[in-house]
Amino acid sequence: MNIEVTVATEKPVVNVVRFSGRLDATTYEAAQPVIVEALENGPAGMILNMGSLDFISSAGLRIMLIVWKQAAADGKQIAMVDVQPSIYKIFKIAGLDKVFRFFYNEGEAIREMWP
Amino acid sequence: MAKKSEAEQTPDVKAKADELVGEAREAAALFSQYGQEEVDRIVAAAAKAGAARRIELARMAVEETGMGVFEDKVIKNLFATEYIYNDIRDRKTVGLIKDCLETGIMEFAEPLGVILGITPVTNPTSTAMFKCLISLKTRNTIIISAARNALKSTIEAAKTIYEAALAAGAPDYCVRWVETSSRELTQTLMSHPDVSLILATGGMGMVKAAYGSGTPAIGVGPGNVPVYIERSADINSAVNDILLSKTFDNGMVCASEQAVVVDREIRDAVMARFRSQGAYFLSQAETAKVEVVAIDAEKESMSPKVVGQSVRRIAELSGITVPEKTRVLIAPLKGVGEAYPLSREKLCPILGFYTVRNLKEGVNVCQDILYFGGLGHTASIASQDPAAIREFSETVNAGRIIVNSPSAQGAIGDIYTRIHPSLTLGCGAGGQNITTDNVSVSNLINIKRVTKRMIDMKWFRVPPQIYFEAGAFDTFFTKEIKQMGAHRAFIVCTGSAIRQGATRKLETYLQQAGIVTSLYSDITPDPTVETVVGGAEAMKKFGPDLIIALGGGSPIDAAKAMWLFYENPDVCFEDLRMRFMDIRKRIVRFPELGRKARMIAIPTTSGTGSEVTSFAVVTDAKTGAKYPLADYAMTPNIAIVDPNLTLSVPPSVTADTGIDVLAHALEAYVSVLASDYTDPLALRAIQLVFEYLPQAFRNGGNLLAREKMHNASTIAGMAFTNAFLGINHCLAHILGATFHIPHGRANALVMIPVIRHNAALPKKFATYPKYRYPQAQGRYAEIAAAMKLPAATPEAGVESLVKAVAALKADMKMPATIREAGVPEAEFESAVQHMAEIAFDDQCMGANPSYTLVDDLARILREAYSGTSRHELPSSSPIPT
Repeated sequence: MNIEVTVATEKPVVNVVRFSGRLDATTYEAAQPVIVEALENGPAGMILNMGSLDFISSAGLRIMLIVWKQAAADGKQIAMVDVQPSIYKIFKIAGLDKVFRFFYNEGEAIREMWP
Repeated sequence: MAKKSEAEQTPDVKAKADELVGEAREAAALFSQYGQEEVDRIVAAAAKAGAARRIELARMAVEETGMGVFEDKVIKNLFATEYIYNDIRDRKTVGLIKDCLETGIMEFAEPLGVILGITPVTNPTSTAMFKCLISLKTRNTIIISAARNALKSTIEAAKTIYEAALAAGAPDYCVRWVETSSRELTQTLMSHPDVSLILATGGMGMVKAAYGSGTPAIGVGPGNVPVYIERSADINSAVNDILLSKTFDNGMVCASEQAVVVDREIRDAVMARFRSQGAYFLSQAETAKVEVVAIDAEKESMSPKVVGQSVRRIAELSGITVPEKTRVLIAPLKGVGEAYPLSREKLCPILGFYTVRNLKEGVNVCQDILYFGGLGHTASIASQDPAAIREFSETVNAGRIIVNSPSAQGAIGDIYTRIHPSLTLGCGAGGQNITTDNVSVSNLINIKRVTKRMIDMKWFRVPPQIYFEAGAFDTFFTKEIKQMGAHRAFIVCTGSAIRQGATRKLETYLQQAGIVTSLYSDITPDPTVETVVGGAEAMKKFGPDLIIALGGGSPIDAAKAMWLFYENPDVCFEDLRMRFMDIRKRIVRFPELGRKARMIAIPTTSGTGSEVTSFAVVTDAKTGAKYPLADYAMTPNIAIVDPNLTLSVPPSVTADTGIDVLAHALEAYVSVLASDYTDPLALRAIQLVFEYLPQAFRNGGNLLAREKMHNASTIAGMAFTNAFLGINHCLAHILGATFHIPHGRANALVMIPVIRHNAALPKKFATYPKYRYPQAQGRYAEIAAAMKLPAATPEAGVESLVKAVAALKADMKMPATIREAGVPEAEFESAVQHMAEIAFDDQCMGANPSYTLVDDLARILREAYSGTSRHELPSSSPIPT
């Protein structure tokens, strides 16, 4: 799995994490510190771009919850963008669609969450 | 069985319920005797009568409820009679409904009994008639409990069905109804002990009450149907379908669209088309006004004020003005949820409207709508792109996914689609229902499955070519070999075979036939996985198209296993050695062999029979346990049974291998899989052993004796590769491995206690449909009789056989007991329980004529140790001490 961390050009205080591939038992260990750090280094929070994320395991989901908790504690926000229907469904079934906020793309997320 | 909870009941409510249910129950009892023809006649008459009154009933319903459109209610009544009848008319619902030749299973229909049918205010007469018809068709009786605001019209519909059914011969009271509705009566009926099923069509509160009543219930869930107009959709059709569906009965069908989700690319065209067909798009201000009226903010659901009302009425109530011919109000919305009241279900001509930018977003928004009060019900898509339809269907949670059709008419079934027509649409887990079915007759029958004892075919599988007699080896390898078309031969043998010169002869013959050879002799007795893997490696390097195994059981077994790994390098030992109860149902399938090489097996002992069997015994070096790998794929293509190759076998080996042949044949004969095909081979092998083994033992050069023993070994192999073995071998395997006793000798040591144990009445019967009852005692006696030993009674026969075995062992100077074989008592005792457990788990247990307990295996071992034996006689003879 590939992760790329950049800064949101329209809003430099927000970091953008782009995934591609699978966040599963073989990849989560390497991924976790990257995601956690991205949140730490983003003063206002971060955007998780799930456009190319194909699969998320329990470990992967746990990372999401960890950063969500951390963000809440730090007064930061997390947005998820461009989620595939098969992944979005996971959040719906698990009741986590109320916990995270979902947007069509990064631009929209920034406009709505960090106006 | 859980008792249904009985709420506090007013005496006359209870009496009323008892009366209704009592009547219906009596009718159900009488109904149970009716045949399919009679039932079908009744249903036809009832459907006709209902259809005939569709207009009056529709008018009554509209007048009484103040909802819907008369003309559309006429269609609903026709649907509930004509379409429902058409779907169920030829269905088998009574008596024998299915008879499957393949499985031997017959299915009979058992009615449920009394059904409580709860009907809604939205589709009162149609739902009532629908439920009555499907009940009658399945010989159930029904009590209709109508929605309070549709009582009269619903009862009238039920009456119509009832009177026609009665006239056609149905039992009195087959349809009942509640005259005065009350919550208490409904609850009492729901939990009445004599009500078999509740068919609950209506609001969530009522459905939940039904589920909580303790009576089995089939309920429905609420709908919040999204229709996704995907960019490839035929816009004109899609818009037409949506308007047709939404205006039907003023939007009161729960499966009708509640929101339109449209791809941005085509949004303008879609909006234009909607407008041209009579839809009105609300402004933000207008939306806010309509919201207030249509949705009860406190109750968080649609307001009864608007249900089934016309656009004009809704506009009036909301204080907005819309063009006169407006059919549907459309409210553009920015989100789904409490903050957007019109994103809820609204059973009236109001639609939500969403714009999405791509398929992903479209599907996700539809999910959001479904999850907001419509999960599991229905979703709709207008699209010409199969991939988009596929993605939509895989993801959204809806029991009905309607494609390119009006959702209401599509979901109720049979008008636009081929799903079963129904007015009770299950929503599955999403709607907290038990099914996503369009509920119909199949949900109202209990199926009784009648089985047959399935005894399918047995088999007899052996190598297609077996060459025998002294000199067969030379003849084959100077003549037949040339016709095989082989070029490279990989020879597997032991070091001793090389030393004796047999391999040199073989190699010469092969070279003369123009075949290149390679010799592999790194075989120890009891080949291990490592041996096999090593050999397969060597095989791979050499690339033979012919494998020749020359020697005793070990090189032949090793060669078979190597063959397996050579042709299938990915195969995993752990999988192959898995136990199975039925070789044809095993979890791991063996790969095919013979694509790269054929195999010739040449035994030089008499013997394991491995040249004709489907087994290869491989030892797991880590644990010492032996695993018989078994699959007919491993049967060699050709066996060469030449007694010349056995002339130099020393006496003790002759004795051990010879007794192994006896064990094979005895076990095959009493096996639960013994057949007319294996019995003669087993019997003949036994006779040959008793007659010729002592001769071969005393004089190894006696060619006749060697030939007879060699043949006996092969034919016993042919018998047991099809009939399998038993506990003699289970015990011999572990006994041999634990105390390093040669295989044949280990078999000999337990043979007599095993015969006595198997001959006794089993403590646990063998589970095998082809084995009708215990018969091992008689079978052993048959063997004795065939050998002309005393067998006046079965018991006598068994004893004669035992004596003969003992004599044979003594003749061969074999130890009579494990003790005599040199195993110290303390060591034996400390191992016996473990050996019994391992023996129990041995694959050979399956065909033994009794399913032997671990304790009995331990007892047999102990008897074999000390030589004393006690046994239970199947007759009334006293147990000898």
